[in-house]
Amino acid sequence: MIAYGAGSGHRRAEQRQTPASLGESLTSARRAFRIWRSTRPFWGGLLVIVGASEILVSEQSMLPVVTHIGVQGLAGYLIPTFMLVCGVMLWFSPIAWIYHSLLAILLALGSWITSNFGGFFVGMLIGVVGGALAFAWTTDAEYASPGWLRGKPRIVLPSRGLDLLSRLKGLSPWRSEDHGGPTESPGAAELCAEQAPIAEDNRLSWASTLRLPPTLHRTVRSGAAVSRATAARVSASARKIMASARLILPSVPWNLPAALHDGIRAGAEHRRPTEHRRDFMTVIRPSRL
Amino acid sequence: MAPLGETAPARLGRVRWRRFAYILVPALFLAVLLLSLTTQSVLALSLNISGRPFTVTARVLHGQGFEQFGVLDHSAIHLPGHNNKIALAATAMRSATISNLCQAVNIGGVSMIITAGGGSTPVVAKNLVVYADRFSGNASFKHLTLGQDASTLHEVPGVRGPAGAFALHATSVKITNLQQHAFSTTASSFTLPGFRLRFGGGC
Repeated sequence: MIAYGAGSGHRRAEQRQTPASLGESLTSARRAFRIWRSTRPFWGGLLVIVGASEILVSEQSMLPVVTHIGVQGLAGYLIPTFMLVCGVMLWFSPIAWIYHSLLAILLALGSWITSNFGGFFVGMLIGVVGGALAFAWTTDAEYASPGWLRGKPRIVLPSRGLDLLSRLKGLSPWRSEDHGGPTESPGAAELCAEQAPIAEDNRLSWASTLRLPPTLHRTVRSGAAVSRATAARVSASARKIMASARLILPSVPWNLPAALHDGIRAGAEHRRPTEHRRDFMTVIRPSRL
Repeated sequence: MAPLGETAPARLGRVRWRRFAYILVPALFLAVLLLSLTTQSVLALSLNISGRPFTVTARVLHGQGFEQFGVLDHSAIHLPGHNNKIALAATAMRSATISNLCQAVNIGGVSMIITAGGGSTPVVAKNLVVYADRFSGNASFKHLTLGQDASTLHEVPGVRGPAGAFALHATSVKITNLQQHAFSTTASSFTLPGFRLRFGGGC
């Protein structure tokens, strides 16, 4: 898990150092917004806010009359107001998105009773869809957790699978000590050394996310020699699995674009590892988001 | 001030569509359940429309605890030809049973029609307050009092007019072929048997 806030701060600092043109700063602002957007349930929150506003607008009334009528009249305003707060909290406190999204759905449903059939059905529907969208938003880190939804977890041997993958790719991202590939580049070596603790920390959660299809898994476990086609299948499915986890480990080099990757391996560019990482972030993110 | 998003490590995420379906389907089921409970008049709703003119028609309205008085509404809305001040008749009923209710509201150019009480069970409304500028129908009152000061009304709890204003009140009222052009409706509870909502058309 990485603090992307820090990442964007990094970029902002960079921006301050070098005077950028209007177009460049616009691009970087767009990118910052995109990062802000994808680190929270943005669309779900937006729909909840829109739905709640629609309900509130549908019953803009003479408040004195409402207060005369009492608690039930006021509930008509309270429920969409709470819903609005939920939508805002989905944006500004994304950590609690499950709580706020479920609450938003329930409040949207409750507005049917209290607030003009939920803003004449429209606001209620938008709110429910928005809440569901926000609920369905998950970070990559959390996604592996609901194992009970997907049946029993399979026992996998990640080291073997990764070993095979590493042999196929000619690199070993997990342990810097048995780095078999060419590591002439000081940048690459440093990069690997820096990654090692992250990799160690994530080994367990990584193992739980690495779920090869059973047939492939058996092949990998047996350690038998495999055909080129099987190796390609293992590689493809392992890559797919890793794609879901690659943002947990952002600096793992298989995410790098081919040219940059080859550059590091060949030691053509002697840059500081942080520069590599920044390259990775700027190059990977836009395509990913 | 540091943005809230940066107090905790923010993480990238995306929408999992299967998870979306898992939560949306039961939520929509609940919405349909609410709708059908409303149609069977098990559930009472609270209504609170204002700010835009709408028409209400009903074949028969029986009201218990009726009061009516005039108000000059300092409306926030600007209507053509209304000069920002509308003289409205406030009609309040403690409880009312309405058969063949039809309510047409204009929402952003599209008229939305709510009909209810078409069958044998009528609509029941509690603490119904309607602010209307046109009001027509054949009314018959019981124990009608005319010319009472609007500030001393007591038929509907909490609803009183300005002091010195003309008001009338009655213990019960029956209005047939009711038609009103209203600006605001509130009802603390509304049961709507045979509830139907449609867009477009008229009453």
